[in-house]
Amino acid sequence: MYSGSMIRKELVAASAEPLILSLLAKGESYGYAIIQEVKARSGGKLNWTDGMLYPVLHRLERRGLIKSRWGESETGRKRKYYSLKKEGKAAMAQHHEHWTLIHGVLSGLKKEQYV
Amino acid sequence: MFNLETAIAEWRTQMLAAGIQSPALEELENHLREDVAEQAHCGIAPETAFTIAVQQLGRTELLQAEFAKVGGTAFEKIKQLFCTLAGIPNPQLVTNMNTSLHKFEPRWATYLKSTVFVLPALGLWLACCVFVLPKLKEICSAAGLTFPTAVRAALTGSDLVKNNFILLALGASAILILLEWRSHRWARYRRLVFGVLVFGLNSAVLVLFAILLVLACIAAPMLLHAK
Repeated sequence: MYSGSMIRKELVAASAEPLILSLLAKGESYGYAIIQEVKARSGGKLNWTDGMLYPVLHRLERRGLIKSRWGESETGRKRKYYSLKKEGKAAMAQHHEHWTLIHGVLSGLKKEQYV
Repeated sequence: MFNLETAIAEWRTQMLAAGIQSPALEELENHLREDVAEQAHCGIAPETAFTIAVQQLGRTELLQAEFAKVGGTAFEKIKQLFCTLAGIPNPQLVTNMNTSLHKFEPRWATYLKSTVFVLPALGLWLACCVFVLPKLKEICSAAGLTFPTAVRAALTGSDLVKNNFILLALGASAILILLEWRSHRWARYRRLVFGVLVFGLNSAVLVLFAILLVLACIAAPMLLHAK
């Protein structure tokens, strides 16, 4: 199943938390919508195994970064909504800082290669 | 003909068997339904949509392992510890080792062991009820020994069980049959329940024998004096 354009699973796993936190920073959301949005924003290249999102959400909730509530979907079914807590915002800021740092180092090195 | 509700019900049973439990399971089910509905919207047949959606959820055992890593509240941890100490098979440990239901002691083994451990005590007690107790009561009344309340309660209890033995046995069998038939959680607790019951029965018989022995020791000299 491995193809050149697929993102390595370690990177997918490492990026899940900052992505989820950043998505929730835009407002309350639920599992299926989060996955769809990540898929759409990455042009389908960041393809999570759908089920795996939920343990990550539960872990974030246990760590007190996000909170959840049971609401209703448009069709009237019960649906679990997640939203960001203050601690989550701080964690997200830290993630952004780290990813920016890595990105900075990487692009700096890349530039030097082409000089 | 493919029926989505049946397929989902079947899928739920599989997930439950793998150890994925309620709030998480509801969330996954909602996800599944949404995914199927979305695919149907794009014109994919429900059966295909369902298969794709289940596949996309990921392998059940991996999913369960991930959920298990989230860990529980303090109460859940204590409950798990208690279950482990009490010898109740722990579903999470079971699935991580991927041996699923085979970890439960087979039904026949539990029943056979319980029978073997309880029969000698039961036999002794019955023999005692039929041959020893009436004679002892006779001796005690002849010696003018009045029983303390606790002893009288124990003897009356023993008599009650003896007189209604068939009724009690039928009742117990009915409860067992119901549990085996209707309860899916019974398999997990069967061994523990039988262990406790067998231990309780053996202890009761032992206590009864001790009481009888003490009574005999007290009544014998009194009988000599009475003569």
